[in-house]
Amino acid sequence: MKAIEIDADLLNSDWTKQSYDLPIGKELDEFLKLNNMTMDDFKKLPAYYLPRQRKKL
Amino acid sequence: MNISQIYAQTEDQIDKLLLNNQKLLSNSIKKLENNIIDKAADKLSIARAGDIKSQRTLSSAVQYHKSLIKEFKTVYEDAAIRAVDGFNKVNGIISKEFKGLDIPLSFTTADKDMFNALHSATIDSFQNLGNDALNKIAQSTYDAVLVGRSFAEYVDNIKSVLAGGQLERYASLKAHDSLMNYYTRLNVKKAADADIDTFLYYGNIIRDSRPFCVARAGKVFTLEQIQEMDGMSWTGKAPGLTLINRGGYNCRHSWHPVRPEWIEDGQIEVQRWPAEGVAFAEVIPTVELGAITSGSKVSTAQDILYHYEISADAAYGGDVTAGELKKNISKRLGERMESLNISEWNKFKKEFSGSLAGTSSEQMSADTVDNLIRQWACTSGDNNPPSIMMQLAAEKEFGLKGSSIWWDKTALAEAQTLFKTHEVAARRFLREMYNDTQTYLKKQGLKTVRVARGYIGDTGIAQSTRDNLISKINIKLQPMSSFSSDMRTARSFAIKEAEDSAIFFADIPVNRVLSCPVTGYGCESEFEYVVLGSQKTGGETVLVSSLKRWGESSWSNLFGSGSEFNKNITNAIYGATK
Repeated sequence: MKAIEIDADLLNSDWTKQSYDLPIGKELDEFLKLNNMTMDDFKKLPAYYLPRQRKKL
Repeated sequence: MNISQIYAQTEDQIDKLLLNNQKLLSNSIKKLENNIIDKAADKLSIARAGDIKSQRTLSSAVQYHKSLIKEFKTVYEDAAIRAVDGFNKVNGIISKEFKGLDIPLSFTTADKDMFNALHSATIDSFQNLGNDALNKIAQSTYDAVLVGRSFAEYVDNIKSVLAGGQLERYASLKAHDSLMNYYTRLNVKKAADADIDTFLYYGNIIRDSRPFCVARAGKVFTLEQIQEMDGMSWTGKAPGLTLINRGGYNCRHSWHPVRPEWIEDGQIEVQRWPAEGVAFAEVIPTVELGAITSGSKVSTAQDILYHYEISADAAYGGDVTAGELKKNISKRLGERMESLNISEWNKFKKEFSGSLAGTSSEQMSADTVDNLIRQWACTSGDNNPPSIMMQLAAEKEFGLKGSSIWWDKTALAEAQTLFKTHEVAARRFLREMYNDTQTYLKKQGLKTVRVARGYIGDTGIAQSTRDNLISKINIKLQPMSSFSSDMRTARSFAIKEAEDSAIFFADIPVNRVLSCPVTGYGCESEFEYVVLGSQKTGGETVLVSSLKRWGESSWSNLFGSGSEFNKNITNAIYGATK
């Protein structure tokens, strides 16, 4: 049976990011900077848009 | 005399015996070399120009070969036998140590039999080394006599085989390893006879010490823990039991019987990682991780529901806020990383702690762990090089050859560069988090955790129906992959209008769990378990329920809603696995 790679796209690999577990405000900016990420990059991540869709952010 | 002095005394005596044996063999090989060069000059026809003359018959070479055999026997083999006979001094050394430690000891016929067996086997192995060298010299002699050769070149050839060459090098290694092997076998057996199953890994750290030894020297391990080391691989490891072979060929470390209560604080120096020069990353643990399954057989569907509940309970951090829970983890893991004193971690935390100037080293470690946990909460990989670096670290640290590497090429290349710089620290961090998780889940009495997972996309599996709710599917994971012990979390994700979706159900052996919200990575409100990918290629079989374009159907139609959902799912899983 051929194996399906269930993590091989961003949405599925980050499926558990439905709740918002990150800082907000300035602390978020610092966190993103530390991890080489811009706010635009962040907004494309399930960790940002899934909680918004579920009204958890 | 305290126990540290007792162990030091034993080591000193063993070292003297080792040196004596190595010197005995080394001298014998030098003597052998001189003797056979003298005999070559005497027995082989040497021309005035200093060449061995080409001869029509091999009679002089045959005569010389016979004398070589005799020389090897009387000089080298005799020394080897005397060296091996010296092993009987080990009994006295062990007796002295056990007496000092107040451990009862008596030697039995079985010990004598073991000595005799090892004695014969060791002499045989020295003879084999000698025979290899003898054959090389004999071959070289016949060649020289047949076609003629410069005598100086011939002598150089002999020297490259004997003193300073192959035989001396291997005989010295054999003299060391065979004595240490005998000493360790007897020591461990006598400890077992006295019902002691904990051992101190003893010995100094030198520049060339293996990372395996550096990480363990001065620490106490149970027999079970030592046996688990057999499944690891590292540079220089000798085949066989770690209990006997320790760090491997020419290893200077030894196991000494100890009762943990004997060790008072500070009495045994626990070796730390040296500041520089030890590539921890050379240690590649290959302990076999279990396979993810669709679920082991249980008596009732209720058992499966209960298993989900206790798995979810274990992912719950108790009466503290999620923020406090993570803060406590960061502090605990940070302290651990700090105590390891790894120079690579110091470099890592400078880059990833985000701490302000003047922050204490301890706080920087905690800040770094905090950042790593947040990094996971932000993304498991995406196009983010630091996150992918951690995935690469998991892949290497746990030998996950069957996991998916799917990231964008540019991000992957950047991650690989980061990984090259931070491999030691990243792998060590994951290992420490994994160790904590294993201890925690075992304390919870869990051998496997029941999990589910939502999925958006086509699985290639037919739409589930009420008559056929669950199918089997083969899946592959990235090195670190998320699951949840809460089926409703999986369902809430697997709802996207006009898209295919699925929920996977699996039973995960505890040794595949890297972390849970209580031990490191993982979102508490989603009862997340971070699971390691597979060490084997080809995927693993789990259960799946699939919906085609959920707008036309829904999970509620299949499984009901509220508490009915969990109940009906577990009934379906039971039906598929009983």
